Amino acid sequence: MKKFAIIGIILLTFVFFMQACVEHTATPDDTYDFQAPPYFPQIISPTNNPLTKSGVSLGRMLFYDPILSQDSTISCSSCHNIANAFAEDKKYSVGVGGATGDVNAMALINLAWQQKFFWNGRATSLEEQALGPINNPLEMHETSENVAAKLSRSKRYAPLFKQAFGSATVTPEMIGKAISQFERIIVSNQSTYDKFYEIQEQAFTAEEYAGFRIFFTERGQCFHCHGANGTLLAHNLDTIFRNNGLLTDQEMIGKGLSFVTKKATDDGKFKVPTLRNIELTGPYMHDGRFATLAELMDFYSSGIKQNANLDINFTKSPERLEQYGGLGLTSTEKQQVIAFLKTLTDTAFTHNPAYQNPFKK
Amino acid sequence: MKLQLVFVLFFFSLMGCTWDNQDSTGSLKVNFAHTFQDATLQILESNQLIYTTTTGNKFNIKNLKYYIAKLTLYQNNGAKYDVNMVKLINPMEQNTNYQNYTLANIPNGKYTKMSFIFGVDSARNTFPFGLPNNSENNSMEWPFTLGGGYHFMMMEGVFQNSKSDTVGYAIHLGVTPNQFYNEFPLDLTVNGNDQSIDLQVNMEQWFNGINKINLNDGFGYMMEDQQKQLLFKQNGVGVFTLK
Repeated sequence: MKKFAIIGIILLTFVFFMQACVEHTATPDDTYDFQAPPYFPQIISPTNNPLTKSGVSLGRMLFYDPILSQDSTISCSSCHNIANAFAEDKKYSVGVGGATGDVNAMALINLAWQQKFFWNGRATSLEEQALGPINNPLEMHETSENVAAKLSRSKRYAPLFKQAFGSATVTPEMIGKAISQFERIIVSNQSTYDKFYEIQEQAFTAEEYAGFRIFFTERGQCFHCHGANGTLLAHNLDTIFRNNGLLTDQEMIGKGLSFVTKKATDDGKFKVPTLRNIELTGPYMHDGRFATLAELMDFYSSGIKQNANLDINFTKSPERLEQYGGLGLTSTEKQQVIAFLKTLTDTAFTHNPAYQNPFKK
Repeated sequence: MKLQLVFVLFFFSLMGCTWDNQDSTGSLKVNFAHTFQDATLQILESNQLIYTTTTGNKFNIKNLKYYIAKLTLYQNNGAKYDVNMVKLINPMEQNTNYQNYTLANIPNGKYTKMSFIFGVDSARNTFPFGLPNNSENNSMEWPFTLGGGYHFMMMEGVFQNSKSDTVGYAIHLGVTPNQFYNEFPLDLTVNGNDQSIDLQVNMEQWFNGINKINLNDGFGYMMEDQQKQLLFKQNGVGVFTLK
């Protein structure tokens, strides 16, 4: 009997010890059933923030709620509009008090497969990224600690945090986890391009297929940076910062990845964005300088600025660069590439009820 | 007392499993040691031109990744140890796991030959996703329009061209005919132990092999140029040597 008691005490101690080590975990029926096509890679989901129904639902509410901003006027959705595939149709976003930022709002698509965030890659997790705009004086102009206090006092939110994370005393970490859970489930996978995996070129019109061929051959060589088959689908590329000739040597100093790494060799290197829904996400580039896809194609065809960090994929053809200032695409070729890019539009994504504003009746 | 006996037996049974493995198999870690003219290869972020080809091109290497596949060990009696592996070698990664491959659970015995394929074996060099669908393999994809599968090698950098401008080059090898087979005599006795060997990867050989490469001859767009890829395939045969 005494032995059983000793074994029992050991087991109980073990169980309590394990519970102390593990953070709040989802109950089995709260586990979020994340769906992605079989041809997508496994998602990069942190073990300390598993997807739960309660976490995703809470994150969606926070995403659409201006309570995150100093004067309750700006929500995440103010600058990441679902109609624009969670980008914004303005060059720069307007924050609290009319403050204007200096970068274009990035589209939020298939973030579950990405590892670095913001144009300069300064956030290394989605959880970290989610808190960035709250603390940015040009955006929500708040502090995540203040927001946590507001949410802890909220009759609406405190119980929801309790349900999702086990505590009604909200912390900045819990806010980041909730918002990132919602962002992680935002998936685009029903474009015309997705059909290519089943029916190959029959997915496209003749013009789209001509553009596809330019994109995926060395004529356009877009795939060198935007990835080939799997990357374009889910955008999980390990080399994702490139200098595409937007800036001169003087203009690029301290901009892009070098803001983080402090290396001059990273000046002017920006995160290569997903091309999914590109038809909906203009204006384009980190500074929103191109209003249309036609302007974008003109840039790649003849507007490349040479600088010390210009990507090898441009400098490897000095003759083209010298003669055309870029790829030297014909007007027909540009139209064909644009037609192909539009096959990445996914209206099922922009109309997905799971991504809509939960406060709208 | 009985309880203590159970614990002791359980402990010994676990240890017994480990000892069995150590007795009957061993491991071999193959380190890929990249050199240029017998010095450790330098992969640069800057445009400094630190190497010269025999044709006079001053150049550097800024990006290097390649696959090896089907690393296999052979015994004199015809027995072979083949784990059907594929490995992306990436000397740019801080993590040295990208610069070695460990053959584990090799049956004890004397091995006299080692071989591998440079590139991805044809069974897995397919569209879509012949290899596991993850970021490292996706970053090596060879477009469907050009035959599909994977880049066998990406080697990129800059060089000083005939106009004295610093411009890029991109040596990209892919498509199944451009794989090549490597084999080396080996003197390895596996006796339940862990061992390692160095495979020297002489990068100079890519440029100064049986084909003397002049980067001015247009090595920016070779993915659709089988003749240019063939030059590197032929040079590649002498790149790897067992130390």
